Amino acid sequence: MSLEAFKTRVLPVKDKLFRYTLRILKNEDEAKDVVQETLIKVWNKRDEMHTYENMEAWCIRVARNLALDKLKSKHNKSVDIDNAYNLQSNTQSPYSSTEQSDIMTSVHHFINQLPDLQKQVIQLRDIDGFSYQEISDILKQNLNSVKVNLFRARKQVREQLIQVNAYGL
Amino acid sequence: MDSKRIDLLLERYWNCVSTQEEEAEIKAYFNSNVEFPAHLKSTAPLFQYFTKEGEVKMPDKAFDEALLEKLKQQPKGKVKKLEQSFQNYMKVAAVIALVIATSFVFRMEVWQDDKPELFLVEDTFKTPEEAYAETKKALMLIASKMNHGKKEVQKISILSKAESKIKGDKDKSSTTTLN
Repeated sequence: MSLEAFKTRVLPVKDKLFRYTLRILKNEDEAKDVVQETLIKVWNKRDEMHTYENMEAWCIRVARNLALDKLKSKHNKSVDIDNAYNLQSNTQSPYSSTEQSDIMTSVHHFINQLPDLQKQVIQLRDIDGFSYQEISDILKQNLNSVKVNLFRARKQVREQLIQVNAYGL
Repeated sequence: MDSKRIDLLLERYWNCVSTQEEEAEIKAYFNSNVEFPAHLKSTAPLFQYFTKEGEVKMPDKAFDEALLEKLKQQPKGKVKKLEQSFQNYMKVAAVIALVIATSFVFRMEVWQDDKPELFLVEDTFKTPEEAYAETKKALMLIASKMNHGKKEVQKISILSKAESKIKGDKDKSSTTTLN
């Protein structure tokens, strides 16, 4: 694959990769680093690319592994999850800016507070529009597990939205 | 969109049986400027969030240039395999170096006592005549040195003779005085 072909076929995936890694890492700079690492890795394995049916899903799977490695090393440095969360809400997310309404910020927090797998499934399905099969390939989970996690995630977010609407919590 | 239609789509959505197209339809509905029925007000922000979040782009404008520059610098071919084979070669080289170093130290330490033997075994001359001549020369040298030494020793023997003479005289005189 030439550099030109890479530019047109692979590079446009960067935004999806960025959104996905940002969801996992909750830090823009780290997400950017992971996206760069991912694309370099994909470039170095360009000879194998034709063996993968879905290039986009393959890129996301590579990014996922790199992001999880990064998260692991972050946890090893014993970063407190609450601190990371506060840092995020203060500085990183586009939804923490004043332009966004409070309810949007709430939705962002509801999704980020979901268990990891549920969070990733909802990101891949509802935000990036992947099929169940693609999500199953990316997350290395069976189809049933993907659907169960998505169902739980949507249910949880729905209940929290109803609560906010009813009691303004 | 018909309110009944959106209710049906949402029902399918919450039960995770909706298709990707149906989900896109729901998103489009909640991102349009229509007035939502009261019972959908709590749901609207979720789909608006999904749409907005799906539009989030990599913030760094210089990202592409920096990445493409890095890709150009990447070594061609299968980098990992080359690195691995290089590592393997280095491992083999390290083992060989270790064996040579060990055998060298072993020679120095253990075979040191055998060194003189090694020197003796080696031939110094090519023909027996030469060797004979050289041996003769060496023996002659030893003989001359010995003769020289003998002369000195003879001198000492004169001294000892004199000493014994004196002693003998003394003995004689002492015996005469006693008598």
